[in-house]
Amino acid sequence: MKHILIPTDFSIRSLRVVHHVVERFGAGEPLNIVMMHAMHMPGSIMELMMLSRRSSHYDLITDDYKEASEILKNKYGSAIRSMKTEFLMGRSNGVFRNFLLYHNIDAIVCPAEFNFRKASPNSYDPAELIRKSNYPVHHVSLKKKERMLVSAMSELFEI
Amino acid sequence: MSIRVKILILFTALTVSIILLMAGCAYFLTNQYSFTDFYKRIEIRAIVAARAVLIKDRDNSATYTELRNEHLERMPHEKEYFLKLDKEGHFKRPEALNSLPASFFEMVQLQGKANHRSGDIFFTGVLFGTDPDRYIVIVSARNDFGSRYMADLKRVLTICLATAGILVLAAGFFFSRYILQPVRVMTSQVKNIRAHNLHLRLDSPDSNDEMFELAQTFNNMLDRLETAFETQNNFVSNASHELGTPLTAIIGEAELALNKQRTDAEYRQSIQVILGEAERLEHITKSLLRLAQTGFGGKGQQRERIRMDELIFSVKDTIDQINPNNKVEIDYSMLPEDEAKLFILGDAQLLHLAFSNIVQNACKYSDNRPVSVALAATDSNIILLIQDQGIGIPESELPFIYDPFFRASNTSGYKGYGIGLPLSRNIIRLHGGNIVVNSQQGKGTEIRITLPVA
Repeated sequence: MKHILIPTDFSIRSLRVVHHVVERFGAGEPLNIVMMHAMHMPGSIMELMMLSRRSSHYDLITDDYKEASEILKNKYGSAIRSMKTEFLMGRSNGVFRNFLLYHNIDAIVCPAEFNFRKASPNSYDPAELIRKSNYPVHHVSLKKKERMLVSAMSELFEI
Repeated sequence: MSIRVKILILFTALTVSIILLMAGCAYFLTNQYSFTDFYKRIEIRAIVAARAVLIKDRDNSATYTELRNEHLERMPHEKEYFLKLDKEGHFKRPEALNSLPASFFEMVQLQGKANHRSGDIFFTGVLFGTDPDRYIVIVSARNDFGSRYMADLKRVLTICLATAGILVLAAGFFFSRYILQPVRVMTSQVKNIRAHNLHLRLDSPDSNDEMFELAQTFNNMLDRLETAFETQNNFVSNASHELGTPLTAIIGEAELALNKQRTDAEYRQSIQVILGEAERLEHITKSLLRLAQTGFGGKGQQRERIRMDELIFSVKDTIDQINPNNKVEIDYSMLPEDEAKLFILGDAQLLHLAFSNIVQNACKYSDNRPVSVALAATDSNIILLIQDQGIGIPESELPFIYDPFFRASNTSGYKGYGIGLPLSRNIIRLHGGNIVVNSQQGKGTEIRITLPVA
């Protein structure tokens, strides 16, 4: 069983990495995929106190994203055992290392050119942390689609 | 009872009862204090009187008597009693003291002093002297000053209470008026809105209070009502226009054929035209009938398990027959591995009609440019994504695309009646699904259909 980490900004585009992950690691053993969204630890005491109770950051997960990840999971039903979305809170190497250990990550897969879109004011691009983590990192290049895009969902289709 | 009266009563009752409570407390506490004060005064008198009368030492006694006569003015109804106690503690009770209870005398002997009150008269008793000359000295007096003071207080409090009550009532009157002012304004505004001036809206003040929300809600409801009214009006005018056009053509052609003798070929051609128009008329009425049938909760339709990918294939076959130049590509890249997730419950014929309508539209309005039909499954839904690169729909017209007979302003070069999309939506809704249209004018249209998995 392999555990793969993919950074995400909750765009459908970031989910397309999953295709490559399955292509590359899917043969033989089932995959557990962790989609990670990195956020700063809140600065104010009040927010820190409410951090464990508050779930407002779950609102960042859009319906489109949820549907798209379900579609992917159904498409690769036998290759992907589980696919979940997790939040990384904090921006230090230690926090990230603990996160990787906790989820038992074997490899990190990132899109090669990642136009990180801040899903919330607290989000940040974890590329720097990933580079420093000493884990095997694979970059995949997502082909730009020449077709016109009307809705976000259409990003998912056509590899 | 109107809300205003309720507010008035509640406000007045609440305020007056608070004032009443405070006045009551003030009266009770003052009364209590004036009692203790008066008891202390007569106790001093009792002690001084005892010393003046009972002490045998002549000088001392004379001093006390002088002190008493010069400095202690007599109180109203002041009376003194000296009761001599014998060895066993018995005494003779004078008749004037019959109203005193036995517990009073016991208390005096036990604790050295006691107080009692009967009506206006206050009694204080003290134990004086040593054996064998022990006395109980009792002084009684009426608390005229205290009762006058209390009566004054009572009067002042009552007047204050009455004044406050009237003030509160008046304030409450204006208060309730002020609070309900926006409601009255709203009521009068809503009363003015009728079927012929549905465009009117309520004024919503720039505050984020409940009244603003209410006005906003009313306005939203009016928006929907206005749209529904407009749709209804448009439907009738569009329907009569759509039905009238072929009829005019038929009548015109028939009149032309009849106004003089013609050759067989000319008659044949006229009848051909009439037939064509009549077929068009039939097509419109049939679609209208379908629209009406599917719009009413769809009675008596059979539901069966349908495999979506097969259905899409048969739709593609149908379109290939009607329009051999189409470029419909079916995108299976997102199909789920598990076939069970591709089944839905529904009426295959109706769904076939809905999907072929939509895909045909995509081909028609993109002049046979490539159309992609993608199929995918989430855990609970099947998603069908139909994309074309056609003329698109102007953004301002997107809200009306489901109105029967509505045609976007940029569709004049294409044939159509404007029934296909409303019909498709009715069918999809009948199956518990949902249809979302995204479009950019000049770039293309994307239609996303979600249907629940069986």
